[in-house]
Amino acid sequence: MKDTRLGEFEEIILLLVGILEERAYAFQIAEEFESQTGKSVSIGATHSTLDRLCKKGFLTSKLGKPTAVRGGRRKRIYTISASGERALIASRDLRTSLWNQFPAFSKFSPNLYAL
Amino acid sequence: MSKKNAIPPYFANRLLSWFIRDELREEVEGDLWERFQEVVRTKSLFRAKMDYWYQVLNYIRPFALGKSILTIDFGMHKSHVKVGWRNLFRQKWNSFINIGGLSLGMGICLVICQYVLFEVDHDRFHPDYDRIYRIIIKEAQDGVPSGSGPYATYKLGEKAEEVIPEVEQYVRFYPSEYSAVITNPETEQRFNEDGHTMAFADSTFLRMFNFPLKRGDPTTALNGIHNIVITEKMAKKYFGHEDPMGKTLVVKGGSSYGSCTITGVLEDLPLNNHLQFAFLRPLENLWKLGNGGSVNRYGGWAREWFGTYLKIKESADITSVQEKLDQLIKENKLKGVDPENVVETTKLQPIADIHLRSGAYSYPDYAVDKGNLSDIQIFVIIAFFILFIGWVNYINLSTAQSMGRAKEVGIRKSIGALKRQLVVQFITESVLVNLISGLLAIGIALVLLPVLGHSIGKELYFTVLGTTAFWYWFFVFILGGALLSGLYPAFVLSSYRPISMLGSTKMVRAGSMQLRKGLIVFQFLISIALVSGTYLVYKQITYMKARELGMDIEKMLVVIGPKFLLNGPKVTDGTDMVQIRAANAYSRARFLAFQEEVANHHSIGTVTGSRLVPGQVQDISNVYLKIWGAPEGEAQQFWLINTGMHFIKTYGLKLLAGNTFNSDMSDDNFVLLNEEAVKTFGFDSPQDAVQQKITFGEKPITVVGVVKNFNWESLKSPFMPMVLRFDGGANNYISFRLGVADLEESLDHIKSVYRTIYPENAFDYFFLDTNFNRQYLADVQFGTLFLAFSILAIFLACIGLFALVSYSAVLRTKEIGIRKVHGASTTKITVLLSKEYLYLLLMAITVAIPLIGYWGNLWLENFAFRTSLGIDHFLIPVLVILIIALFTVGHKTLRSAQSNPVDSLKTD
Repeated sequence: MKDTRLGEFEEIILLLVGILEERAYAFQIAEEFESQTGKSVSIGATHSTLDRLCKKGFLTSKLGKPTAVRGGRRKRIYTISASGERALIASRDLRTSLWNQFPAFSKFSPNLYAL
Repeated sequence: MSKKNAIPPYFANRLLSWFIRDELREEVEGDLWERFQEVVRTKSLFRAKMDYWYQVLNYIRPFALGKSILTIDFGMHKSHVKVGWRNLFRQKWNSFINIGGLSLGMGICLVICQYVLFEVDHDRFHPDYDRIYRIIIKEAQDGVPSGSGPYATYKLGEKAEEVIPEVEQYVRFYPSEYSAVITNPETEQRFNEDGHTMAFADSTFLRMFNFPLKRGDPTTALNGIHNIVITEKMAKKYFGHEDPMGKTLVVKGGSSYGSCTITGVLEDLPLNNHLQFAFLRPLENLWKLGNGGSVNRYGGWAREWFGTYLKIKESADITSVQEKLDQLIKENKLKGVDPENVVETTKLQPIADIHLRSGAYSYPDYAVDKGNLSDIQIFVIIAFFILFIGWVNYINLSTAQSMGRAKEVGIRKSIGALKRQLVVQFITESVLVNLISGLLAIGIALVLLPVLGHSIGKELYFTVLGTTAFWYWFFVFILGGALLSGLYPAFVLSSYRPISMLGSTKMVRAGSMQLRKGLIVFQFLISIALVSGTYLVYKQITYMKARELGMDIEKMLVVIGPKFLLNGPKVTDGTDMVQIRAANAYSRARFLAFQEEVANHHSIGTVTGSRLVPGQVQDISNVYLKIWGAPEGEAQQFWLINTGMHFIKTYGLKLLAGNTFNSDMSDDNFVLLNEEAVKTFGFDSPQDAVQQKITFGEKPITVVGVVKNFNWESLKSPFMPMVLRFDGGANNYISFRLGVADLEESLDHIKSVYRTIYPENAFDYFFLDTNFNRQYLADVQFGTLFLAFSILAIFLACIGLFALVSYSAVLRTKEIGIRKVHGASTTKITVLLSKEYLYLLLMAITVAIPLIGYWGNLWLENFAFRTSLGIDHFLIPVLVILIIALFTVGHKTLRSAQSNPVDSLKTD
């Protein structure tokens, strides 16, 4: 397998694909990214990351049905693969373990784990 | 086009389908289409189109590129770049002019853009700046607007937060107008601090506004009544390298006395900020310990003193908030105190608008150095105009120069180069030149920006370089410009038939000469106008400095009066007349003692005190006065200045009728008028005005004399109706007419008397003439800018002319050769070749003359006292331009005329 580590942007994109489920295609993901993080991103940048994640095997994709909103064009829907889920969990576990070792935060705000 | 059936820009789509991989095409087009519709719906069609371009360009990424683009023949492109590069080096002189002219134009454009950004960017560094508004109060008397200003009562902001749900937070800011002496008790160092540097504010000030503290806690720094927050600069001034936190500063005089503890050190305030101060104290300090005791009288609904800022909730409707504020003011109007016929309404001014869009209020704004929107617009137009001229010149030059490459093009064509390849060749070269120029332009801008900053008196930094948006637009402009300026020569040259280029007859004419000539005429027109403008500005400034002012300000030393009196009675309420009278009487006695003591020295001519000195207009009192007994409605506006006994003599004012003040007169009951005031009151002559009574407040005061008009303010402004009121104790400024004795001695004497009579005050002085002439600083800066622009315009116009001349010289090589063979002299040919440019210049001059006349007079109307437009305003710029242009043309034509005819004819 290729490199299985996730960059921050990749991780967010991967999570967004999971959140959006049936609606996970490049435009929607970019919109969701903007509304969730408040940062702007171009569709091209999102698409290129999706493409990379597919090549790493974290995502699979298939073409959906044509819709009128898109001038009759089809869209590519992405879904997380099993290895994608594993990568996400590994990444979360690493963070949680790091947070647990961070004394300043574990003392005052146990709620932070929930974040 | 309606929003409903909006379609994405055609060329963006073409570009996309050209480079995108076939498999991705459908889904990408779909996504972009959806995005486009989304932006059209939420924003505007224009924004949507821009966004579409942005999205398309952002798809130029390795993963998305298709075969069509990957199979481009990069070998060919490499060859184009190589040939272009060689060409640049082979024609060093030409390339130098090309790149020099273009990069200069771009550089200037960059500098102006940075300046414009700086001006536009004021007050935008606060969080949620778009939700912060300043309250403007507008008064209307009987329905007629009678005044406006950025000051509200103490309670308005506070109450607004309480009862108007849309108001999230309020902050009051009190810009003090009284200067004070501040002492560091440890070192006994004391300085006079100007009033406007000493502000008071609510404790929430540092939370609403983003003024970061270097030391201290922004949430508590302004909580204690004795706390003071100072800027880093002040910390250095008073404490050097020591840590100022927790140390004490003693403030004496000004709006509030007392010792303060430093609880915060601010980073020096940004320059693009309308709130400028150096010392910040809690508002409470002002009304509990200082002279602001009256703010709470009438429940805090009188005394409009406070700059009031409101943070409005995101979804709120501003007009309805304004209406609610108006209602608040109406409800709390004080019966019997506020005049019945005056109605006050509010306007919420976004803080980002304060710098450029607030205009002038009848009560002077505490936001200093406000900019001017129309100036900024003119700057933007000039910037792009310069860029445009740069490109036009480049087109002219490169077309002319490429004529020399006709043979190269011919050979390329005959061995099978396609027209398209030739176009690409020329465009590649154009991109090369534009890129080099663009990079050089950044260098030029880096050098020029501090120069511009210096000449307009502002510190400018090249902040745009750090933003991605800048680089994006930079390359868009460079590439767009390269395409535009490269297309013309590319198409002209590539469309010739090879046979005409390989043969020796090069009598081809490319493109329309008329257009080029038109542009040259235009450039020279601008140059002449700018040179004339520069000359006019300098002449007006010289005129203003040299004109008689009606008073004598030379050898006038002005000492800044005492800020406080040791052991004198204190004022705790700036409106309590009993307190004020006691303090005034004490201050007057001290001042008379000072005057007597200081005048007792051979080096001092005369001495006088006054509330203001000539040249100071910001703090002048505007009062409404009428003749005693005249009906209410006849009051007119006057300038009121309190002056001491010897003011007329010290300033050399000319008495036209009556007498000056004398020692038998009591304070505030006697006035002198100037001629303008005599006219405004409606007296027939100065003599008639003497001994007349005028109404001041409730009581009559007597006119004792009339002085000739004099220029209190710069000569930009006309004479104002002035009332000089006798006030023997006025000592804000103490003016000395110095005798012939040496300055050191006089100063030493004045200083020692000052020190004994006014202990613990700082001794500061200035010379009135330098101070007075500082009013022309803005005009001098304007002149410098004009000068810079004219030099630039001339330079660019000369490059343009040079390009045109070289071009036509190339075309006429053979003609010159034939003429020479037939016996024409060098002079004759030079004249022949130069003649048509002389004709162009004449055209520019003819158009320029009425323009100069029109704009010149329009500009001069800004000045009440002005020089007149003379024949010199036309003659000098025309001569300057003529000489420079003739030199440019002559240099090239002479060279062509001197060339050996054998060279140009031998090939035939």
